[in-house]
Amino acid sequence: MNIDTSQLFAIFGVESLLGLLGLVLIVTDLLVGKGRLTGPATAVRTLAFGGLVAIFAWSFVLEPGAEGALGTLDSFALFFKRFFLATAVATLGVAAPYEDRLSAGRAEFPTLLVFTTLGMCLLSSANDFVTLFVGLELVTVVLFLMAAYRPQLPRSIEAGIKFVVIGALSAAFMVYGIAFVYGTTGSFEFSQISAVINAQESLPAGLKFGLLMVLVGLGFKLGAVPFHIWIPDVYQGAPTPTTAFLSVGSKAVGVVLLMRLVYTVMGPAAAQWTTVLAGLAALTLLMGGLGAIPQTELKRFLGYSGISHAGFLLVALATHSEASAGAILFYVVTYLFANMAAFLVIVIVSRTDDDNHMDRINGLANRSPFLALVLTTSMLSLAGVPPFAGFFAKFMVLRAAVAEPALVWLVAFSLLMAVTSLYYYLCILKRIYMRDAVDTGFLEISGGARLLLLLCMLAVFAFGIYQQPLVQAAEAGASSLFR
Amino acid sequence: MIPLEHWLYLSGMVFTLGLCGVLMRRNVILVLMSIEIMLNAANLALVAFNKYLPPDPATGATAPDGQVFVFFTIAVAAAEVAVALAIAMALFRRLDTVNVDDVANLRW
Repeated sequence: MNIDTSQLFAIFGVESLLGLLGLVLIVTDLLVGKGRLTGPATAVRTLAFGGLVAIFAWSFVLEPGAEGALGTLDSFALFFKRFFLATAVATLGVAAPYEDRLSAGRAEFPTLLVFTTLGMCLLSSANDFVTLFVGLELVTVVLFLMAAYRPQLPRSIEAGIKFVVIGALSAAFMVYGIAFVYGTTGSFEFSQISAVINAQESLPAGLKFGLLMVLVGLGFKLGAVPFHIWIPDVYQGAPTPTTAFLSVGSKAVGVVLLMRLVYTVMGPAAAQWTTVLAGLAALTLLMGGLGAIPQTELKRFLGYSGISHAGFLLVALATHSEASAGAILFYVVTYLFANMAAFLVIVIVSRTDDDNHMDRINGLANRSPFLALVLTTSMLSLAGVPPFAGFFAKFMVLRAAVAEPALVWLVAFSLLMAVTSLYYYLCILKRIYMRDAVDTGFLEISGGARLLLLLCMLAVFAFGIYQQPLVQAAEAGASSLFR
Repeated sequence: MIPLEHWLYLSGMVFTLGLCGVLMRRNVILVLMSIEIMLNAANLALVAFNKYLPPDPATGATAPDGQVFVFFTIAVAAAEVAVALAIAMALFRRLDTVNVDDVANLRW
């Protein structure tokens, strides 16, 4: 493997700046923070926000095309870099009203967030198993810390320890799989592995085994059944901003890597894997659809809802066409807006005692019509009700899947599960509009939070009614996978 | 020379041993140690595969990619374990246990 260092900044520009920003945040915290463990972290938070927004804006200046031994900056990578940066900015917005509940480490939270985003951006560029592994571990190890961020709360510790054990286990599966892929193809580079895979009629057993193990490792990240066990517990136990970041970021990480592996590395040979992916998709949809029904805890509920969304993403992955790849990119963006809005509402209604029981949203329509409207929009979009963006995302996935005769059963099943999931989203709406309030405390909505909520709600509306710009961006992003 | 299969059998056995440890041990520290064993099985497989790859016809030597990857794995595993032990410490301080069965308050 020859590494051309002059290309490195062209490919990893965003990552370099994020790394720099992370270091600047650490130093700022040392210089500015007085009594910094417990004090407010306005300086660090503002700087992190400004830096992330600046890098996000800068990423629109970048042109795709640079390629090297460790990574590639194609339009797909660039699309996801922007997506992860937007996720990080939104997470800072969710974290701002939550900050007072942290007894310590307020300045470190934005710093850790920046480093995880670095890992995620690195992953979107990965065209080599070395970059993939290092980036993935950077993301997971920092997320462990963010999940166990309130060690005085037993549930946060429990989320942390469960996440660590499952995360480390999936890493072990992954490395073992990578070893077998390497052993049977002689390379870590995706392009060479792809050449070996598509040069032969049937894959050798060792290579199949290796790819399957890598798939298992990524299934954990995506939250696909049967690797979903950690999702509800970690979602419930982790601090809400972490859960918000995890729900969108970790899922998107699984999506990015699976798309690269299925569409680019396996290429045409991926047709042999359709049955495996379709089976996973069906199981995931079933689990997500039924598991959410009895939930009484808001974040746990959104965890199961996230599992069912992972199912839809797997339906698109099983389809293996350019249309389905574009549909996935559209899907994750709509999921980002709907989910971030929902988590920010949860942060606000759980107030200072941080109680996330579903009772908290009872009668929300009377207490705060604005929050009720935002949560309604977000739930309807997640459920896939027209005219919201989530409907169009599901529609794109299913339209791509129905073109493949072997997947018609899966489309029928996804429709069935979409209707089932409508039930539990409507239960949330019933709580908002028909029940009397249990908690009557004052709901404090800061200006920033109001702005973010409004932005998410408008995006969910706008992309539902006028999808063209986002569809074009998604298709342009996906096209580079099929060159 | 010992054939490649022997190394792979050994690595497979070590991996399975680690997996059994993860599934059967109840002590968090021992679970983490078992995961380390699984990672080391993967490292063994990587090094063995690298050793037995056919050499590049141009240079007559095999690129040590697999062995370099092992260094990455070792470094990453060390970072992971540092974080994991910190969380295990917090668990012990807060709940006075390192038994995973006692950590089951989150459930439906």
